[in-house]
Amino acid sequence: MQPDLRLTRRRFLQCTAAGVAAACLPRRLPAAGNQAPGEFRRGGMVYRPLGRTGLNVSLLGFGSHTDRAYKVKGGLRNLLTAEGQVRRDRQISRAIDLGVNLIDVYEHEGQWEPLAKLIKPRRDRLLIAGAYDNPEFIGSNIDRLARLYGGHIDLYRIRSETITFDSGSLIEQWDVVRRAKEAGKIRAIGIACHLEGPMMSALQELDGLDYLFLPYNFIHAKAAYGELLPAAAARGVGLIGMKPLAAGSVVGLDPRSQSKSGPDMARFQLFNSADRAILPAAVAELAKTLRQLPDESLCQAAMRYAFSRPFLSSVLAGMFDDQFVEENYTAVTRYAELSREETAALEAAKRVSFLTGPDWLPGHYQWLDAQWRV
Amino acid sequence: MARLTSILAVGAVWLGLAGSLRAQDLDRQGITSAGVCARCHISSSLEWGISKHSTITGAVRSPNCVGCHGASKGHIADEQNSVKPDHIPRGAEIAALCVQCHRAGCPRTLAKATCQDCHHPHALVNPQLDAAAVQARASQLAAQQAAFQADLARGEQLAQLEKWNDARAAFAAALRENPGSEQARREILRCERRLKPGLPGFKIVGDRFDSQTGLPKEIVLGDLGVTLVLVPAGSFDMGSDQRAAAQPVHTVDVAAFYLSPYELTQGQWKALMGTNPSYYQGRKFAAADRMPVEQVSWDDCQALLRSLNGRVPGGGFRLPTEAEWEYAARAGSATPLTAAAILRCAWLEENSEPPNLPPPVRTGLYLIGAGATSVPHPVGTSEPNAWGLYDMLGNVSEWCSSRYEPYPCSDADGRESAAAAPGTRVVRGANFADFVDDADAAQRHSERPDRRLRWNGMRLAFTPPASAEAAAAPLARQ
Repeated sequence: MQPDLRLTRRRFLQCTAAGVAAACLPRRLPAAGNQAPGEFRRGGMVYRPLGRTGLNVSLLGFGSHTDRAYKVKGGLRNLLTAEGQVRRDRQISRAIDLGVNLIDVYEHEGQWEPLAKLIKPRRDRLLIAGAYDNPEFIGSNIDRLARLYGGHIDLYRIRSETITFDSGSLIEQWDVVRRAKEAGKIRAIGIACHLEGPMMSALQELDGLDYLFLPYNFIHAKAAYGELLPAAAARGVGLIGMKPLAAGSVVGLDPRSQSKSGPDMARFQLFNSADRAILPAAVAELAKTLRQLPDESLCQAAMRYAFSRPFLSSVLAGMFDDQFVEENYTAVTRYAELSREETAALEAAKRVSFLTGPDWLPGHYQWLDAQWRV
Repeated sequence: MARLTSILAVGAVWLGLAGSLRAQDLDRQGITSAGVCARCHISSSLEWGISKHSTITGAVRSPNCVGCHGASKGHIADEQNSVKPDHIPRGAEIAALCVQCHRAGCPRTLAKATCQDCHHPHALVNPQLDAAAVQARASQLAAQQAAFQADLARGEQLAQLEKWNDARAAFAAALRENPGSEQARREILRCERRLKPGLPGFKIVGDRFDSQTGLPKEIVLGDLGVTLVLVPAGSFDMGSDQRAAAQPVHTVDVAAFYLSPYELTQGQWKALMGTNPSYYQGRKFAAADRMPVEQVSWDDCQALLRSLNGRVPGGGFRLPTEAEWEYAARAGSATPLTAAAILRCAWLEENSEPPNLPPPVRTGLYLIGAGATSVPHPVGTSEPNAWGLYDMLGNVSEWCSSRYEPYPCSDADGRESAAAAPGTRVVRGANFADFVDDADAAQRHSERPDRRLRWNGMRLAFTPPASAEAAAAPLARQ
């Protein structure tokens, strides 16, 4: 029997309604490929499981670095001024309101006590990440941190650039960290490292490793982490991305960025320096691609690059300005696959960074330039 | 109906006899042999305990709980009882299990696939016996049991009078009445130990002997000055609800064993091995020889034990098992110690700073020197626990023989195998760099067997030779 192909009124309405609905859908639907297993969304924030720890971390984490423009001048250079502390507290509070539940905190920036005081009423909803960044004995360091945050710290890590397991020192530190976890002072233990080789060693040598902090951004040529990612997945080790904006330098790669957030931003004004020879063609290409992103900054595109990686449980970004908190949150709310325009802009920015030489990075991170270009 | 009556009659006789036995014997005959399963499945354990299957050990696939139902770790750990055992054989599967050993089929009927027509899956009682035979068998067993109890009582009276030869004869008579009685064998062994109290290579300290085993309560290995105290046999609840790695809490039996009241010292290590691997030695530590040896791996400890056992007739020195260590650390107490009590008996971060330490210096945010300088102390300089053991909760952490595996603790899963195997070994007890919150008898820690850390040391345990023989030759059951 032949199907009835006559166009009835009902059929016309069905077809047109479907067409209108399809046209109204968002242009960038989340691709199945960048949805992490166990991921869920609450409000605008996305949460992902951190390896096998049982902890769900927000895709956007609040980084530990504080704004240099608001630090006390003189001896205690890492401490924030009263104004700086008010700004930081306001930014953290806003981030928590937006759904950020992972907050990283450095002791050497003088933030342990202020953060503990700030989040005390909401402690049980938050995951606090601390690091060993003090010459004090690591056991005492953990003990003080745990006492300060209601008996336990959620994530604690050892920072290392050169993990040399023969020395015994790191193994000893790791043993102390494991004991503290067994004693209930820490919920998840990890290391932070910038190099893939030592990270692979850590996967082999550190029993009970829960997570790794690793640099991840669109400029990082080694970000494929060909060996590391499968090895970490096999062991159920969670991955947390850091330096999604290449230690803040991506701000400086955007010729449109203005020094409106404070004097420290001048450090990133790559295009204001007459000393740097940047090929005009590369800059013109970058400016052209950025014009294709009318509702998005280069930083947001860079954040979305990191957010779109399903193997990253969270991405930590330093946020020194109210505007950064809002921009990063907006990037999370549409963290789906990158568009062609965004990819083009990031590629153009990458070319500019490569042409600039190490100077596009802040001085104390310029050693990373060579690593990232290999 | 007759079949059911017969089953009940034989079962009642057996259960009646079991009830008349002393608690220790009942334990050995069913409940304890069934292990952790008996905590919930009491009737099944009792049924199995009176069957001949419960007497078979060492077979490739023993007809016990694990043999038929699998290790069932998930079921054991699940207090909500939502996880089933690994395997529940039904119907033809049961017959298939039977035929693994009974290859020729039933000795009477030669049937192979219909075992359950006659036999109960746990008790195995044969209902085909007629009522008169059951009655006769019950009377015979009751008479044997009465004679057995009388001999045991007589032996105990003689033992109290320290007439060890006569007591031994009475217990031997009891064993003839009931050849499967572990109690009778234990008592005979106790009498023999009291008749010949010495242990080869050791000197007995004092004249105190254990009432259960007849072993001297304290001995010393002459040339090395290694003292050992007897940890009495018993059972305890192992683990803690407060520690994730120490759950679930479960009851464990521990046989009597010797344990050094002190951690092994640097001096003793040096005397045996010729070197001192410890981190805390040299001019700063005048009493280093009496300080615990540290920075030794599990493999190093095994090398030392091999050397030590070469000097003692029959050997027997070893590391304590994880269960033995916790049992000894608890010293019969089920309640956790207060922080103040722990600090009296353990050298920890809070009380382990050397006396001549300069005060910490505050530089900016940093407190240089704070907490980084705690050191181990000479052994035996804090208070002992209730069983006379020093430094169990502090000074240095101690290697145990056990491989680190999740609870419940079971010898059957190979965790006590001394053979080299992949995985980590258990380290127990806090150390001078730990805080009082971390000092807990239930706290478990694992470490790779080749790792040397400056807070890991060891303590000697010793299995007396006779006990080793007894353990090596399991008892035949009725």
